[in-house]
Amino acid sequence: MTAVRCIRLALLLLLLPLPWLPHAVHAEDMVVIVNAGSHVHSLTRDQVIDIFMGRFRQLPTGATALPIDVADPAERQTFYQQLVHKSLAEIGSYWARLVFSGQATPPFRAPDSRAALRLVATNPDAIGYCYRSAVTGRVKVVLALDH
Amino acid sequence: MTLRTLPLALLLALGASIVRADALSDSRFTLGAFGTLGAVYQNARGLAYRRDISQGHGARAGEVDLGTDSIIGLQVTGRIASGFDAQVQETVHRDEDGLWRPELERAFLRYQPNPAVMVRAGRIGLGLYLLADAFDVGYAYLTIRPPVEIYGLLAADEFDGADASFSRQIGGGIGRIRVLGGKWPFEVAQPNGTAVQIDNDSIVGITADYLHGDWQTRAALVQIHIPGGNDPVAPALAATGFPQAVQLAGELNRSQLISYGAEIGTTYDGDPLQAALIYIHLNSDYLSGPKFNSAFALLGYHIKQLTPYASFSMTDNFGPTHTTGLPVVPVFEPLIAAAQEDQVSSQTTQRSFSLGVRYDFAPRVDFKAQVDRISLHQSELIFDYNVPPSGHTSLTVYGLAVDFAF
Repeated sequence: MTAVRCIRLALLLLLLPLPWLPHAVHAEDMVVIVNAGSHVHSLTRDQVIDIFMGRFRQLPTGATALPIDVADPAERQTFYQQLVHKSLAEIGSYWARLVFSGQATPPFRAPDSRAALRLVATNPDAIGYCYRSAVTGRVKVVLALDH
Repeated sequence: MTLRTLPLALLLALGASIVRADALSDSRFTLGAFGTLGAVYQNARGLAYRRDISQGHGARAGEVDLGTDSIIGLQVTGRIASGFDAQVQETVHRDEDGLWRPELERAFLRYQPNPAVMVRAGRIGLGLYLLADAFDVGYAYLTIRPPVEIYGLLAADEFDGADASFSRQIGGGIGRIRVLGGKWPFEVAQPNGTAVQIDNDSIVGITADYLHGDWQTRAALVQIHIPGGNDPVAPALAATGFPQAVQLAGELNRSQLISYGAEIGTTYDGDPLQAALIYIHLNSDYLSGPKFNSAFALLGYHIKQLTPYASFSMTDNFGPTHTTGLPVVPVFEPLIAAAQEDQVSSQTTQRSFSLGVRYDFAPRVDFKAQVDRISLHQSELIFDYNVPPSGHTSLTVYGLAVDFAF
């Protein structure tokens, strides 16, 4: 094998998705949800970005938003890919800058999507996300994201 | 146990009860950790490459230096009440004396009555320059280290005082004003192993940010007051009686030394591009103070886990060096040299062109490789042990680093 082939192979291996990386982004659309009793009826993409990225966590009602992440990397990756077109590594790097400079704290992380739905369903100012097919009557969709 | 190590012990004790602080949970404490294991190698004999002017030792030619970029940090945040918490952050890195000792980097109370207002008091990050909010956290930025020509000239990344931030939605984005003020103690390490300690200066500043989509733009102004009147060369210059030397002594020995700076910059953090463009102007009203223009440009391109990048950073001194007017005779030569050194010690004219790649190979862990080609005329950042000094010179710095943040 020539040196050029070796370098090509090495580059190819580097670019292959690693097992921990949830590259296979779920094809289904994500939706942003709030409590079914919330007075918030819709949010813009910019407002959701501001809340989940720690820039400005205020709901249109004036209340402080309580964003909820999901621990499952694949679901989280799908959400952030559809919201801000970023990988989990980029999101982690972004939060490292804010957390270790004392500027903001990342969203609360629910252990799974059922727990996230439950938190949104029981907290009037909570805001979360899930696959469209997982929406229940106890939460309300305020933004649909395109994949 | 010394006062210096006490915060670390407290952090470790708190770490035993690692839990999460959030309005959605009953937990009171959050623990965070970050670190970098970095190796630096450079090829210029007689020079020592430093990451910033507080480092007492640098990477010397032919040696693999682990102290330039390596650091470990712990952070504990404790919730006190709704919207009210406290944060302590301790780092261990090579300090002014070349020793690895813990340093209290952050210790503040934070009050956020609503999303639009945040007030902090205590030891707080300076956070004046874009991208350098978390100066020591390698995982937070693309390059191995923030460009030394800009961030390396900051002797300390924290101050003791208070700041207040006010945010509001403007035109689809977020506008934010931050004001800060307090004491800014710092040390500047010298090539001879000593350090100049400044502990009674003060700093005030204001930043204005606009965040929209993948863009962040910042303008900042800062003013630093340092009590003067203790210049080591001035009394001897005044004693000569030569009018020009006496006048120079008066200028060097002013009672109030003021430096003021301005920054404007923008960053883009999108997909697949990441870019930054920053310009800084710093001036002083005293002869031995820093006077320079700095600029930084960065371009990175995400390809899955790999992000190759290129950057250029520079700082150009524009401060003149005044002569003493003393006759060049043996009796005055040491004084002439000392007056010259007094003025040029804070002068830096240096440029770096860097190429590198970041590889995010595991969750919250990255690997970076970087090559810097540096040319310099006079630099406060790089120790020059050559006799005579190198003057115009250049060096190549090779760096490898593994960063993590949890």
